[in-house]
Amino acid sequence: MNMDMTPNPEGTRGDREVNQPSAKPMGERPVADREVPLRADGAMAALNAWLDGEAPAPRLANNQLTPEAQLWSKISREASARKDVRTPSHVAAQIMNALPPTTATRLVAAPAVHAEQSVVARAMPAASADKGITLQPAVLALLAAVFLALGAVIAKML
Amino acid sequence: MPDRMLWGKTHNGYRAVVQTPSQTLPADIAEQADVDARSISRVLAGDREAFAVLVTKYSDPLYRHALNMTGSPDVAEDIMQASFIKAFSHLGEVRGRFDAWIFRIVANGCKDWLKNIRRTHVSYEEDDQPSHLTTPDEELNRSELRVDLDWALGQLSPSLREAFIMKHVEGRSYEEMADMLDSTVGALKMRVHRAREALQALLEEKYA
Repeated sequence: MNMDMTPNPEGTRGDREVNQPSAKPMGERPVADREVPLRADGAMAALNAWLDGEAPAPRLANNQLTPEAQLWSKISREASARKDVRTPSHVAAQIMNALPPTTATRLVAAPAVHAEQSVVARAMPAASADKGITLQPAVLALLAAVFLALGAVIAKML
Repeated sequence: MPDRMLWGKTHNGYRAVVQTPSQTLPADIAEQADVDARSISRVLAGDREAFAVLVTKYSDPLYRHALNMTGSPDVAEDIMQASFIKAFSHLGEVRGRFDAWIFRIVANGCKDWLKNIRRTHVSYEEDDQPSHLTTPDEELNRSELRVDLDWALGQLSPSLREAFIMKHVEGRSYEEMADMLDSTVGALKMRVHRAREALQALLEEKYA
């Protein structure tokens, strides 16, 4: 499914710029999948097993977490704190106000729904049956023929 | 467990497909799918307010995903709105779980946006971020890590970022991720592992 999401032309209001420490190994472009070869060392495998809940946390001889495990404890804590973010309260109303008058699917699906007497057709209350727009296949074919004829006339004029 | 009505596209239009979710899905998920299918039927029958139920039910996890993927509350809202409008317009095409379907619409919206705008960092307003820490030092350290993690996430490709966010921020299992993204557990595990390695390489100099 391809969504044409045009970026907000006004930019990203509320988006903070990050002052990035220059000492960091920052690349200009994102790290692509192919640029991240999996390390063959056991330390990373142990970390992944721990983070996937398949093994205990990797520890040093003195029973302290390894530096990498300590880092991942911090990252996990920071990441899980984001679970509590909620949708701003106005968004649901905004979405409902922006909905088109009817589902496009109703227009397309109606002939098949009526022809097959499907579950939805049966579920529709009788009173609402005349609310939707239904296009019969014959009408659709007639419309197609009219548009085709119009196209031919325009082509001749050009 | 009642049978679940889904919509399937045929060569001559749309038709209702009856599935028995208990054969394929855990009971709670199947029950949710039944509830969603009933809401969808009501929307298709002309009850717009039934769609508000779906919006309310799924907006939080979808917003979190969009926010973490794009780093901007405004963009996340735009993607949410466009996604729900798209879902409303194509509601009769839902096959399987609505939550997975709408998630894929939002996830694709995020990835499309990332393709259109080359961004090098992810961040969002502090007001959106709850604080569970007590001391100012901890808050300061965490704030620094938050900024650095945002930056590091911004260095990942959209697919690695998506996998990491689903696993570590949204707390999903690999099986759930595979279901939502229509992929395999093995492929997603690999993606999460690659994301972790990349993040560690970006952050360990400062933190480890």
